[in-house]
Amino acid sequence: MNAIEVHNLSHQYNGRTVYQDLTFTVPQGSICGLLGKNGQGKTTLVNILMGFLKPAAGSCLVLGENSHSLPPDVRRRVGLLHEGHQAYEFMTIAQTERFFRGFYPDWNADIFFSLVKKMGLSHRHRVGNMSCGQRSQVVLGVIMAQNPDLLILDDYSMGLDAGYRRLFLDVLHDFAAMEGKTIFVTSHIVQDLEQLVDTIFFLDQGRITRTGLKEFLTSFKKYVFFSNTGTVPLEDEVIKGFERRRDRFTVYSYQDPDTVTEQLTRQGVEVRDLHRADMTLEDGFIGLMGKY
Amino acid sequence: MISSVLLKEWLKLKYFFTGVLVLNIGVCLKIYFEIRGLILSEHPEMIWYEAIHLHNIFFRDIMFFPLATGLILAAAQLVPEISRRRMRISLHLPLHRDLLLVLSVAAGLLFFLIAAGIPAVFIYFTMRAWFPYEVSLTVFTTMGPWVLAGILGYLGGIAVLLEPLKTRKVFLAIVFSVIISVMYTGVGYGWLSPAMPYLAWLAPLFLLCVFSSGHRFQQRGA
Amino acid sequence: MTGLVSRLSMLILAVMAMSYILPAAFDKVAGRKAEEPLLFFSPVLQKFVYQESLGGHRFIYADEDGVHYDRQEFEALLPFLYHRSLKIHDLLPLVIDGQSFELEDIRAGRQAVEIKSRQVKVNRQQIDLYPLFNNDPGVPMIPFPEDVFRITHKGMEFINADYNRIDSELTRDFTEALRDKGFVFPAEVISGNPTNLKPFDEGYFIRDASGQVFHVKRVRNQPAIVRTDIEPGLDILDMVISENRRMEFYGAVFTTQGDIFLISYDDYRLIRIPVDNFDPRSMDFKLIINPLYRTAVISSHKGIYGLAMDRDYSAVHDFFLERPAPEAGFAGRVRDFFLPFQIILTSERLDQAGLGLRTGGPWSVAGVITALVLFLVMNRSIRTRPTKKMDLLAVLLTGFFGLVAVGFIRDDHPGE
Repeated sequence: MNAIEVHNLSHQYNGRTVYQDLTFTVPQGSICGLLGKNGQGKTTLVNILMGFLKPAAGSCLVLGENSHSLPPDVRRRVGLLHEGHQAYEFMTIAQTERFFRGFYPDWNADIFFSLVKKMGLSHRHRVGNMSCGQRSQVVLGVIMAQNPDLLILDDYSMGLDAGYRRLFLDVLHDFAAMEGKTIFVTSHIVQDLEQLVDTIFFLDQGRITRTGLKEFLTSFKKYVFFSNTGTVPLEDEVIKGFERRRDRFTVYSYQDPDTVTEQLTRQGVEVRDLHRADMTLEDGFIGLMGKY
Repeated sequence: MISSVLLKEWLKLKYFFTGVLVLNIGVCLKIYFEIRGLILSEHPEMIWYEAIHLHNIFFRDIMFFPLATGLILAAAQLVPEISRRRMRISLHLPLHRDLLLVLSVAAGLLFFLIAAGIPAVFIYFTMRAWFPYEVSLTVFTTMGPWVLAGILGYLGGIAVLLEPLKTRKVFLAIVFSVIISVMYTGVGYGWLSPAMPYLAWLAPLFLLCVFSSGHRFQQRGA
Repeated sequence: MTGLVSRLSMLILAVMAMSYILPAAFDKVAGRKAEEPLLFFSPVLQKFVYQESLGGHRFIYADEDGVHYDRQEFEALLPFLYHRSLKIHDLLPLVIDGQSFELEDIRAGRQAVEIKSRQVKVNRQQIDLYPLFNNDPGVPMIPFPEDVFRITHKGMEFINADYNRIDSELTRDFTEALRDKGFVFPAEVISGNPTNLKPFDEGYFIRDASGQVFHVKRVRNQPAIVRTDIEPGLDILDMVISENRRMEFYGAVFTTQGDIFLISYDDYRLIRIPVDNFDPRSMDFKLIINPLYRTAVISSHKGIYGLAMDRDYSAVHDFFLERPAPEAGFAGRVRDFFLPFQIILTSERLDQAGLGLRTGGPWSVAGVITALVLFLVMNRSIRTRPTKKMDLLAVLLTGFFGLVAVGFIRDDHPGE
């Protein structure tokens, strides 16, 4: 069974069409990252997946059920991390555990407390009095103790400093390593995802493309060359993106170096010393999507 | 599960409930001392005449407190959930949304009835101390509509706060306010009594509105 | 399913609120308060005359044949009523029907008793605790007693206000005295005047469980009880006692069948007021007494009925003045059109809440149809989806109320 199945999804926001006929699947056991620039509808898509928005048309199935009307027993198997690490601020750590425990028969309190212990706070510490990072640990503890089959995370990195982000990733890694767990995550810090996911979804102009991480990093290439030319490379079929730092140019392409050089020359760009460079996921993302 | 929901509601409400209870009891004490002062300084038979035949209500001070109590408890329960989309946490819990609402509202109503019931009993005993039992019993027939106003204020407050669309929010608030104002019509003890059996049916209607607002709240991107 | 029912509740509440407040607000703004005309029997004309307010201190003065008078003429037709101006205009002694009246005769022969339907027992909330005034010939005014009494199946209990406790002595004295006279506890009707702002005190008239009527007074703190011969089979709804120096009657009795009697001082003999179709629960009763005539005036929502009687309470002449229908005017039609019905909580006839529904006439039907048409037209132009049955029903049943309600409480569809 697919963990998530989206068919012909269409939705509008403020009169503008966000997507039309969007179709993709997330197989069970995969770790997926959703990448896209701001305003492309990432948050809307995640909201629909999480069941907080009913799509205008099309279907969105989570664990086989309609996302906006998930029956309680299916909801039990889905762990949600809301943007901003939303938690009940009026509860203490102990009260949080006691509250959520009542809803999940497979609740593992040890996981919750082991995660929370790392912060060294008293169990009577109120969530409202915590920093963003500390709160994220509590929320993570709740989700992990729940032992969900599907984890949907909406920008888990927001508001977290490097330390808490790393902690988060560690936990997600361990979780991902378990059998049959599916993760669907978005993040502003694209680089973090490189360590975590095995599948990437690119959301751009209302269209979504799926590619394996490894596949993407090998097929999409980053080339560096030098030039004093006044002509600037144009984005086209071959040249997917470019950056310039004085006389050092970076271009991104799926093609081999010769084809790229040929294309650049055809465009009237002087090319010197074109060679392939190491590409991180963030490089590739910006190269494919652009900076704006 | 149920105990979890009740725990959450209690945590949200406990300070407000205590505050509101203290406030109510404060007013009751004021009423107690006022009546006591009246009886001791004036001719008691004249005070009795005022109460029995002039239909003067000596505990009027408490009139709007049940309504205020209901509104405050509704806000105390909902604001922590609505602000910054925290309702999403509740909505994702493996519990039917309507069941969740029922439990939360039941908890709120329970606290309301305690906070409104205690003053009623207090005032009853105050009146009983200085008036014949028939007069003290009118405390309940007179306060009944005020307590109902509080129940409707609580339920209406929740329905209005949950409603996502602003125009509908305002419309509902106006409709509810008009209906609640009915509870304050009339002069004298037990004035609304003949109508109360019918007016009581407003409570389940208001409760159903809560479900409608809750449903729309979830639909509109929570 | 809950969605349907909960939306229905909202629509119901919205319509209720609108039908409660909008007509009342309209009336307030349109100033449609209908004042009751005043009806009198003129001993000069031997006909009924009336005074009707047109608002703003403008009045009509007319008689039952429709002849109009000005204010001076009107006053001259009612010399007993406007007896003060007789002295000023030097018209004393007053001569009518061959009889001559000086000012003192007029004053001594005048009395008015008014019993509105809202005062009647079933139309108000009343705690049955009453002050039994102590009649002491040595004391000039009537002081308020320090106790009140209630009548239970055990007896007549007196509760002292200073201590909020039963006064056992008084209780025992009065209960025994009542039992001796054959009183069957508890009481069904207790009537008296619980104020000391009256010329003297006649205590209470109390109907016991077997229908007998007792006259109970307190004289020097001792019971003074008379068992009247008023027929126990009389289904008494309420009694109203009104102490008056003329001492012709103690007060009035209403029965559930609509009979009116006066309890005369002559051994409690009942004097019947010969009116038919009187319903004390929904009509106001007035008895105007002057040296020559007794006039009963009964107001209902239909109009005002006057019955003139002679000194023996035999009917002499009667007249019915129809109340003008306030809905007839343009404002009324507008109101009916847009506000097809009204939920009312208060009634002029009650001293407590009385839920009622007032529906409009043919103009309301027109309004409902118009609203329905508007609804269907607006629906077609705005939406492409079929009309919801609940909305249609709402507008069909409640006209513009429903239109506004479904406008604000739209059906839940995404993308709205």
